Amino acid sequence: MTLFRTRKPLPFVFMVVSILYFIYVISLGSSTMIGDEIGGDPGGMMLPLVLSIFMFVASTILFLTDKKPQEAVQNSRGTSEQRLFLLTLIVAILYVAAMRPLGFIITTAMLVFTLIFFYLQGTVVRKDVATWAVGTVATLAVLLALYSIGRVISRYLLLSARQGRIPQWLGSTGVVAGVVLVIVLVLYYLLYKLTRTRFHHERVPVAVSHAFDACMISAITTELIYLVFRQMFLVELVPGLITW
Amino acid sequence: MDTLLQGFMQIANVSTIVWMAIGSIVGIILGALPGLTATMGIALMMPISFRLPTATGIGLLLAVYCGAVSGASIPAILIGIPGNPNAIVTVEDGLRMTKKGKAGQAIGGAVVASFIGGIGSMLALMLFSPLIAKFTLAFGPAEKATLALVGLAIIASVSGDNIWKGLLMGAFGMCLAFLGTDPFSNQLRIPFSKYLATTPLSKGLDLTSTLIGLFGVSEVFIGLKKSFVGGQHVEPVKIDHIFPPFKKILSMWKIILSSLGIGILIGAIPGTGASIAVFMAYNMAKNIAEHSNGKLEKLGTGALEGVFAPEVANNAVTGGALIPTLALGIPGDSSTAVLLGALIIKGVTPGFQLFTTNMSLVYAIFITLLIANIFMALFQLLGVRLYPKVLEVPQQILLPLVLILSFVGAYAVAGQATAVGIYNLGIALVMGLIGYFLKRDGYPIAPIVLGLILGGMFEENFRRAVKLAGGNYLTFFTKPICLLFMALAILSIILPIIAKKRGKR
Repeated sequence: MTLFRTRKPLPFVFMVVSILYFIYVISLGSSTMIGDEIGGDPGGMMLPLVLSIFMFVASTILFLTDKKPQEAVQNSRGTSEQRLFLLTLIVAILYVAAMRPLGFIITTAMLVFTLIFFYLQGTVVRKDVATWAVGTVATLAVLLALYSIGRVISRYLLLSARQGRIPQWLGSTGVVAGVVLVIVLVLYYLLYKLTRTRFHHERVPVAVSHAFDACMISAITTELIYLVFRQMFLVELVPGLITW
Repeated sequence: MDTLLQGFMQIANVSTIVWMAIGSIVGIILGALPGLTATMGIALMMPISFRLPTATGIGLLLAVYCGAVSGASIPAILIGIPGNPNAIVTVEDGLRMTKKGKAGQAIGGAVVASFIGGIGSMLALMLFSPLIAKFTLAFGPAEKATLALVGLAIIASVSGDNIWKGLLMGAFGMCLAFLGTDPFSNQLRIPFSKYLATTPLSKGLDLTSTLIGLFGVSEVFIGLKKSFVGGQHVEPVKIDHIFPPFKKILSMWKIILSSLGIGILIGAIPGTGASIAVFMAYNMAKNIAEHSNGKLEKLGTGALEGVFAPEVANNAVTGGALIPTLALGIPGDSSTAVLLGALIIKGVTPGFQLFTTNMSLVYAIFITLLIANIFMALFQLLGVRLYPKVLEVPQQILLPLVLILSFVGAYAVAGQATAVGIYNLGIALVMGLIGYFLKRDGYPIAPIVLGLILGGMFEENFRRAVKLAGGNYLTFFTKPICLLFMALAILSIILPIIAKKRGKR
């Protein structure tokens, strides 16, 4: 047990991985090239087997030689950092899992808002949950407003160009994205200017100011990502709940 | 001449210029932000580059690369914190110049030096890469397999503080490359194949998502480890007299030439990178200045010479590192390893074939490298008073943005296939966590990338060579080029061990 306390865990993990990989390769069996009737092909098993043995040797050497420094045993992460690390991990897993049912826009905004808000707070504590919940709703409201305005303008330009009411070039993907971008940025700037002082005031709690900052940044970030990837590069972003 | 013109035509459009300008600015900003690297910038921009024509996409990535290498000097000069390890030596004289009230000249000098380094190395790339590529004409499967082995051995041996860590990572990268299907028999080679056979994982790990995970997502978790410092507070400094006197630049010709040579040479050796080149160039410049009979200022005292030497060298590495990348398919550093990945995904196979069948693209790459260097200098000079403001953006805001850009990048690679996109997100997250744990314990990431890229090439050529020799494994010992490569691979592993033992004594 002393050996495990003074050694870093990663080499041991790699030892286990290499053993599992070895067993897996053996169980898979070797496959040869199609049309290798006369022989000569070393087979698909050979290199993975050699690599698994090499990985085992290298990780064993590291396990025995790469010792944990004394101060590292004592200086582990603080509670706040641990909580933020866990939060990031959980939020990232939820982002991947919830993308399909909720959609790209909602999950992206929620991920960015949650992380910025709690990172600015410096830790994750129960008393901030209510502010976080209100901030999430506000973020989604701002974002959906910006998104909907952008969609209306995009549709109008695309349709009008197709029907010949405006010049064809005005309906190209690049121009539409550019026009929407400018309008959205102007609206965003106005909204920011009008509301900033209300939330950055000495009587306003710090958590609320942080929620405001996180809300504004996450809303515009999500909208910009949407404009670049969906409208310019035509990447199919999962619509989820937003069907318009 | 026709191919040169064709190459020029590939990039002579507004889209290329606009995307390269964006890439250059993004690169400078990423380079200027401590903790964000050129490699991460290239990995994050890869998905966008796939949506563009080949030459434009490569131009975008090169612009990010050049911008990030050069941009790292901004915080090094203003606050004494290098944007990334490439500018670690620039701190020495750069910060002293700022304290003397010469911040403008230091930043301007760094830009001019970076430009000279970039252009000089581009000329070396144009001169040497076709010659080296011609050498690969004599390569059969056995030579190609041993060449892949050399690349892996060199990168594994020089990156990181422990050679076993590098070798283990190289082997791990190759194991990851073998996931998917056997290239010769189409047999599935993934665990839990009963469940995963119908998923995108049956084709193996998506390279872009893996790179984004290793270089982007992992940085977010690493960033959390360090306590949040808020934005870097930059004391207001007067930035004027940006251009160093021409006479002064001319007087440093020896330093410029030696730094250029060191940068190109170090860059061309796989696995080394700019962080080694800058130390060597600085030491050489120190020596030159000491023997200049007072014509040059002493380094370490806030001298422009001390900014010029590392800045010429680190940008000379960019072109130098592209020489083995384009000519042999062996990247010079982790940034060019990611670039190589982007090239391969784009269907461009480096080596002699590229120089014979697609010379117009090679010319397009050369021209985009020239434009990337021009843009790097132009945008850094234009924004010389604005970039210090970037340093004030707090990590608390930067890290979530890096995470979401990483995720969106991994997702967007799939284009219209949303299911594949979601799988890519999972790959990026898992690889990000693996990257975090590895980086935390000092394991180098570059060998994994190289294992991933060269693993397939090695297996295909190894099996083909043995098959052609009728199952005789000794075929590798009967060919002089293979013997040379194997000797190089063994030397590259043994020499660092001997050097380390001598150093201990």
